[in-house]
Amino acid sequence: MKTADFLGTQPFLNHLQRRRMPRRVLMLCLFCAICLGGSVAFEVSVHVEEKRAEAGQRPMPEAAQAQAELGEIYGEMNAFSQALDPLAEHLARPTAAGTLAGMDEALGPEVEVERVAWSREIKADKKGKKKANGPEILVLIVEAIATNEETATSLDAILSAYTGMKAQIQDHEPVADRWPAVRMTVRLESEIHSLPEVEAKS
Amino acid sequence: MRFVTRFSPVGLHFGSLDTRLLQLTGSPRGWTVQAAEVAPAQGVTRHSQAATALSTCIKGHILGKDTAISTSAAGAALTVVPIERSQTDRLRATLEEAAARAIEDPEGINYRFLPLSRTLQDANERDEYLLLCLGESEQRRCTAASEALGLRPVGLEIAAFPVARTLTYATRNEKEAVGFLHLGFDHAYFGIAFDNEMRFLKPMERSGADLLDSLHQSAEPLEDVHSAQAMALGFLTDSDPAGAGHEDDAAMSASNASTMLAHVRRQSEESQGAAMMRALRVQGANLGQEIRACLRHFHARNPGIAVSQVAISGFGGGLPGITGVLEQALKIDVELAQPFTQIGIGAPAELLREQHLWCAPLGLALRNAA
Repeated sequence: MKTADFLGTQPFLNHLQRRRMPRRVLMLCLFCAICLGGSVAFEVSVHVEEKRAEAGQRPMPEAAQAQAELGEIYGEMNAFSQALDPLAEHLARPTAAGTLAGMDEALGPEVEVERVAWSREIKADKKGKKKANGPEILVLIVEAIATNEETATSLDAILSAYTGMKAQIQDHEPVADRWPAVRMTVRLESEIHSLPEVEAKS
Repeated sequence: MRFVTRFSPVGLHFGSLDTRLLQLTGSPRGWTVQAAEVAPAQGVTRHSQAATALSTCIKGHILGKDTAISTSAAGAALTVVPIERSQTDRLRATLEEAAARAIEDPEGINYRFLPLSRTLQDANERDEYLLLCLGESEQRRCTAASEALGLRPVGLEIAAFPVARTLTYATRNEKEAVGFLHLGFDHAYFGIAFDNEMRFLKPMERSGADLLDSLHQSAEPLEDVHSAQAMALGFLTDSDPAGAGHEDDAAMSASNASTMLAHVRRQSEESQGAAMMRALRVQGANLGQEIRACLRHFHARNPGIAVSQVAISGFGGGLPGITGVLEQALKIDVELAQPFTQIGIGAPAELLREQHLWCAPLGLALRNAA
């Protein structure tokens, strides 16, 4: 109710303010309690996430078992590695099977291949001497009959182009009763490491 | 300091006959009386007398220090000042003049004023201001007494406002105005509160002391009683010299005399009672006329606002038959104020017996809530 206060309005307003103070403290405490509850809830959720992350990082039993089995396999394989290494080295070397398979077709119908011989030799130096620890070379000896003169003169070049090896005619002689056929002996050389891949032609 | 304040300020009312202190605990949902003390004290020094008397009994009983004070002695006055709208610029000067005329105090006069609202809008009408005056000495004594009790004054009102606050809070009727008549010992006023503000307040010409005086005057022994007593005494004295032979006659004469005296006394008591009621009825009718005039004035300025009930508080409200007399005169419900019962405040039985005397301290205690 509207009133006329002879002490003025301020003392009564101060009185109301004093009464309100505890309520403000109560509200502040409630706010703090809510904040505390929120932080506790946040901490709990962090713990849950942390446990989940730890569980995720822990190895799976199936993977651990597979890893152990793989280790055992490697252990077993190590026992055979001494025997398997030379084989693997041998298998890694170049092969001449592809070169021989397509040689007839590459030389054409005017050339008849009589003999092919493979060998590995020590490369001779410029003076013609062979050292024991010199580099190895692959040597291919091809004996073939060229049915005409033109083919005979170009046989080394044809073989060199086909195999990618250095070709050198070692011997030639006419074939009896088959003029103008000539029996040619061609020596082909190549360093083992630089032996080019020869595409097999069917 | 308690965490949640669940007690009212201490209501301290300096009345003409006594000083009353009241404090409630609880909230508007349920109040209980925490402390209720009465210190009989009259005169100019009643404040210090009351402080001395109350200081021993309130120790450990009251909560907090804040106290709302009210006074209703001769040092305070209230009056309605009508001011023409054309003279509104002289409002302050007019009110100061009226305040200076209202009371006398060598230390000075403080005054407050409230415009009395009205619903009638008429350009020719005058504005009315409720002027409340309080002597500096009365204000100083009130605050000094409360400070002597270890209390901190937070408000000082003239008792009409806490009384109106109590009765408005008790009725809780927002559609109708609340009329209240405070019949104090040396002052009386009639007020009407509506819409949470005082709409009318006027001092009455008759106070509780006037009513009491008229009752005293009508209750004085009648001449018939004196003559009957003299006759009876004559009977008794005449029968003495008759001697021992006339003992039976003497006894009969004494018996007749006492019977006659008792009869006359009974007759005089009955006639005294009738005379007292007659005097009260006359005073009540005069008071009723005053109130009727107030109601007419209020209705003229506030048409449409009904006053269907008047509550009586103060010393005069306890006089026998006053509510009935006023009810007859006003033709509306007149009830003795029972705010504790109406609000539902838990209070001791002795306090509930005289609720109409506790309206002012209760209004002070309920100042926050009402």
